[in-house]
Amino acid sequence: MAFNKKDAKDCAVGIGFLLPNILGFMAFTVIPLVMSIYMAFTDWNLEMHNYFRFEPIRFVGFDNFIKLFTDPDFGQYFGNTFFLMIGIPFGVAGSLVAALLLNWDFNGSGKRRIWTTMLITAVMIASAGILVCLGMGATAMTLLMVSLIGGVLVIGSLGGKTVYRTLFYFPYFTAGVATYILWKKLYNPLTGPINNALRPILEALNPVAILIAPACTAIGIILLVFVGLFFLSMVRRKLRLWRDGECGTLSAWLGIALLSLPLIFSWSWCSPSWKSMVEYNAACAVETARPEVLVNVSTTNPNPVWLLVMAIAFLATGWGFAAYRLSRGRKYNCIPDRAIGDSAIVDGSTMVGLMAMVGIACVFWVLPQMVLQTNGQPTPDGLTPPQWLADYYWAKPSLLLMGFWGAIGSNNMLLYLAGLSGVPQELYEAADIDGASPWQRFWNITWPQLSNVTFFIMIMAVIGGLQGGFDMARVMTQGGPAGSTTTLAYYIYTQGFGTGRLGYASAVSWLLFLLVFVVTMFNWKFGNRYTNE
Amino acid sequence: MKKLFLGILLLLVAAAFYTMLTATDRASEVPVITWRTDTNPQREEQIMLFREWLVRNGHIQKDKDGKPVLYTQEEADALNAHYGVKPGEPHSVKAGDKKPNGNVVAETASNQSTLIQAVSGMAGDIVDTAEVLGYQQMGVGVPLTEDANKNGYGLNTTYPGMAGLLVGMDGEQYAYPCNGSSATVWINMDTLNRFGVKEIPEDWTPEDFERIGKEYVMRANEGLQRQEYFFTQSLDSGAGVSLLTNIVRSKGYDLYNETLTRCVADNDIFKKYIKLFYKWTYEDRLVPNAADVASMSTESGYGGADFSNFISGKYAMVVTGRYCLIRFREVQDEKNKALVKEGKEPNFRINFATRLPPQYEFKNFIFGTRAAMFYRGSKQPELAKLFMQFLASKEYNRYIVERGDGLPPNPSLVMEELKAIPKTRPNEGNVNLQEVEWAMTIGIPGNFSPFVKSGSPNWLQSSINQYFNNRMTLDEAVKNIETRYNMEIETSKKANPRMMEAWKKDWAIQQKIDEYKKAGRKIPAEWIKNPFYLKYYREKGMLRESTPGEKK
Amino acid sequence: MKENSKFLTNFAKLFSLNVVLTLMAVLLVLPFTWMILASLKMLDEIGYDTWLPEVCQWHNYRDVFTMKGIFFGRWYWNTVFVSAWITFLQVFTSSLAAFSFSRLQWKGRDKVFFLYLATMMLPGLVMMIPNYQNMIRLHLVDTYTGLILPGAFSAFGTFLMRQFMMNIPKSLDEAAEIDGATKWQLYWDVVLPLARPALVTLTIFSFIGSYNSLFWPLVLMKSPDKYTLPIGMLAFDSSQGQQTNLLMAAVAMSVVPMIIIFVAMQKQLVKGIMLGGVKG
Repeated sequence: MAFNKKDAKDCAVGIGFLLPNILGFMAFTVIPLVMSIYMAFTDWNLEMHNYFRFEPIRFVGFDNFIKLFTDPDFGQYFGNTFFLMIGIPFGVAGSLVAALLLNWDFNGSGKRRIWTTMLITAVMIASAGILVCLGMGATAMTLLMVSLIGGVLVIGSLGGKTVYRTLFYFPYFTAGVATYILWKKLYNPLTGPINNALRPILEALNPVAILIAPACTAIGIILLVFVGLFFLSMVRRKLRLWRDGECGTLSAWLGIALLSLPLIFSWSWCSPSWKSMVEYNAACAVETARPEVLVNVSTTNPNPVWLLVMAIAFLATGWGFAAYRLSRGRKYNCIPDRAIGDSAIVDGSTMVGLMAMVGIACVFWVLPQMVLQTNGQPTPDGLTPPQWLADYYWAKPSLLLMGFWGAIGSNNMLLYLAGLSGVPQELYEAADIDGASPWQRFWNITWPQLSNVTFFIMIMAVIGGLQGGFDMARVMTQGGPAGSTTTLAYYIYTQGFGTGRLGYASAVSWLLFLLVFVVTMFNWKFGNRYTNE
Repeated sequence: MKKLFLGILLLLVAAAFYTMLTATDRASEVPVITWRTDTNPQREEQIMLFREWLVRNGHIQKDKDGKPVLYTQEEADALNAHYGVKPGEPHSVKAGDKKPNGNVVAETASNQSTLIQAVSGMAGDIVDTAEVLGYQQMGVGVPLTEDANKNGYGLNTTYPGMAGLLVGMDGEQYAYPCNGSSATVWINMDTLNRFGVKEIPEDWTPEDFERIGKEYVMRANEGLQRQEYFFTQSLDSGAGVSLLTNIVRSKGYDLYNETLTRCVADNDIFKKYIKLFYKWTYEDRLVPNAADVASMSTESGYGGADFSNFISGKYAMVVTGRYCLIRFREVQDEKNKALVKEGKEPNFRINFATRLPPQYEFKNFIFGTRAAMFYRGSKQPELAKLFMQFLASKEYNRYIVERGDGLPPNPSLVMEELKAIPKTRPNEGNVNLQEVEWAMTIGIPGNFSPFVKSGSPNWLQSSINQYFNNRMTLDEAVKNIETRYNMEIETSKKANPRMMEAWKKDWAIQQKIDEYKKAGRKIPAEWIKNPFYLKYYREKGMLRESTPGEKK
Repeated sequence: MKENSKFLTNFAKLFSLNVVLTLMAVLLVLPFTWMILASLKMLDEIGYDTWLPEVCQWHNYRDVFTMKGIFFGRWYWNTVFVSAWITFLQVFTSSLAAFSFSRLQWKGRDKVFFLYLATMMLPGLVMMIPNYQNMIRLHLVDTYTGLILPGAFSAFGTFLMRQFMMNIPKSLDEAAEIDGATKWQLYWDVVLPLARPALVTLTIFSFIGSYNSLFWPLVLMKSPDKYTLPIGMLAFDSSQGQQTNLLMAAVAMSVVPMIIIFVAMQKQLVKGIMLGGVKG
């Protein structure tokens, strides 16, 4: 460890270049960081410690953290944060699709491109002509849509990849207060264009809904059964991988645990909140809601206990099967955490998909109450569009939808594009010789080749997701209704700057940091395992 | 590269200079105070009024020789343009007018930003707030009692019940009201009469409300496929909370106990009336539920969607404050203008009446205020105090009365004007005078406790909401109200030793009050912190008033 | 014949691909379309089914600037001014630090770099509260300096630049050394010009980031004439948000600079992200 003169000089030069940055780093990162650790363990409260009043700051040990875990709302905010992260797999999948489409061979000769453009223009003119002949050309909206689509199509086929990429990237690029305000207006239940567009569609669907209303319960059950069967098949896949030594014991259990969540949820969703949703909708739907009606509605509905039995049956089968298989031993051994990334990403995404399916089943469940009264007559309102941000149950899905809009053409799309350009062409050529279908080509070549990009994107998205939700909540919902869009980040803001409990807010921030840290450590430890396969 | 770099740097430096130069010049030749308030075009008018008031009271700008400085034509034009008035209009200035020796700049910000800036010494000079108590505890207020009494903006100039909202925990006055807000029932008599309801009793109980309401709703919605007309607005709202408070108070109950040290909502009275509200919403259908509210397409403006529904006749009555007069008169004027355009006589008007919210024996009226607090970080204390004086002045109060922006803070000065309004605006019934009289005689502030932070959620409202939406049973809801507020109290106690001390002291007094009540003894008046109980017990003769000598 | 059919299949492929991409792109752009059209409507028309205004109200855009209490022009200027300074400083400090981390050899270099990387993991909120306390102490609340300074240093920027500079051939350094260049000359004359794509990428990221930043200005700024656009828009929405047409005109104007920058620099940006990302 000799530190000679030359080392010292090198060091001085190195630090010299670093100096401006390191000073700022000290002032705005390191010092606040130390302060914030200190704050988290004190009762620093603006009420007593501010510009006008200096009272001794007391050290309170872990009190803030204890308060945090006993706070009856903390669970909800924590849950909200995770709920909003459900959008991540969808967003990533969206950007992958966009990247795949953009990566398609665009390099047609100039001649072909001009041909395409001419053909497209011809088709546009023809379709516009047909519209006019049919008498639809008169409505401004149709013309607007036709010209919008036509315009993009013509410019796109002339300009190629760049044009589409630019258009895709727009929403992500402009995301901020301005676009949140825009979406707030889009979601306006009364005057927003989304509900304006939905109203006639739902009106048209109303007779269909009335028609299928009697079958809705059955459809809901079928969907739930499907969720159960999918769960079983995914468990089987996992166990096969385990048997073949392609998946470690720990990873197998992690995957199965993740896959079990939708089934567990399907019941908890059905029971308290679902039940109240049914009752709520019934109360809204029937013209004069009387208590006896409410009672009737909840008793004529399939008993949640019944659903519980179904969910437990599936879970028991899956877990029993797994326990049986795992106790029997396997052909090839491997380390316990092998392919843990596969469990985290593939099973995690499957879980989210199954969750969505449980949600759809839920919709079918409440549909009959929305269109039919208890006496079998159609309700006066029929199907009504949701209240979006103003509705306790719809507020989070609304934010998810908006997030999805911004996520498709994000940096992730560009990263995927870069990843795609790095896939060796020989692999595809070999696959072509083997006569692989496009689907096989994707699963066996593209997806594994992109795995490191996927992993990187997922980790960054999860870190961002854990810290996210502040801007949206502040601009669009103020964390409401009834706290349904308050994430941890927004909670820190309301505690720190709203009520002035700086110590407590710091404690929440550090909990958040801990979460992010765990995720990142997971990445470092297991990321390479996944990418090296 | 180098050139580009340097070029950008130069450009940025130039931009910085430009920004500095064009920043609104706060270093004006006269003292300027900043007024933290809500966003409302009327604030600008009030500022112009203040400038006039300064001149009229001799606070004028003087040059070196002591001669008053006068506006030049240019300055007058610029000022008129700034406040959006044309020359010759009221509040406009013209060349040759004297200049006031001070100015006010209104600033608006969210509550969170105001709080954080107030505790950092950055909140200007006057801070409008409904939470004087909270700010006082943070030490950002300056006691004003002496100054206020000397300069005519003391507690005795405003409503007796207002004291609780302007006084800190130490008993000193910290603020003066900009206006009073209130919760009165406004009744659209035209709508009622149309469906054959002739009269609303002067004093009415919830039973009367239910009886008349049922009759009205039945008649109004006859033959309609779905119910469109309701008796009043949704009770799953702030108005519902205010109505509930009225009713339970009239029965002798309140959200907090006598010393404001505990929430005591988990009782049968709260249950009974929350249940009644549920019945009105879902069984009798007197008031709309969430789905009804959503299906009524209304644009919301000043006064909110409820008020729009009231004007359009969907609601027969609405619980709101006097500030809605502004919107109400606007709507009326617009309709009349339209009539004139069509060549008809502008005779459109809505006749309405006001009543106390339905309640039982102990009549009470809830009001609040947007109080102007004197900020401790003020750089211009003299001017800020003049501003407070202005708020208590006849000019300002007359302005409030005329514009309908709430109750006048210093009502005794403008009784004549209030009495005159029914003649000029006969259709406004008794709203102008009546609310002020109620506020003077039976007015009590809404629920508050010094131990519950202003930023904390309205648990009363959210629990009612949860009960209405079947996320909680009635028992759970009432229990939730009590435990949540008590948790808030617990938290603020633990967070602040000073608070803990105050709470312990009050809690000991509370024990004594309970003993006295049990024994049927008269309770010393100075023990009671809750303005409701103070008034209630006093009326019931349960208090022993302290003689001046006895006071500690 | 065979040639011809291949040409046709390719042609059909290209055509259908174009159609799919167009539909996706249109869906993504629809909200913006509505925004522009709504900004040209009269207030009463906002809730109508049809998106097109009856008569284009171009004066809506002018009206935004003359509204009472809305200093739109000033906010615009403030935002551009603050963002430009932040960007300039950030790019400068980051490139200096990145040069040190990638081209110089000194003891403890990698450890310090690791520390930098670790801070990227920290939720910004952890540091917000103490940072605010410091700003009070330094009397920087409600000043442009207070807005600019904390944004002038970025671990992410350093990381991005370093990744790029690592790829510039080392032989250049040696050649410069032989010519007797100092480290500063090496940085200024050799490395920096070659790191152009990374510089551009960081410039865009940092500009857009500070252009959109909400949290810090929200708590720091108090005078309305010193607001930046995000908090200005928030104030606009809460005070005059009922006037949807004007609000949409303001929203449209506030995203214009981002669109201009993006379209003008997108080639460089895409290259920068792709290069930086894959190495990441």
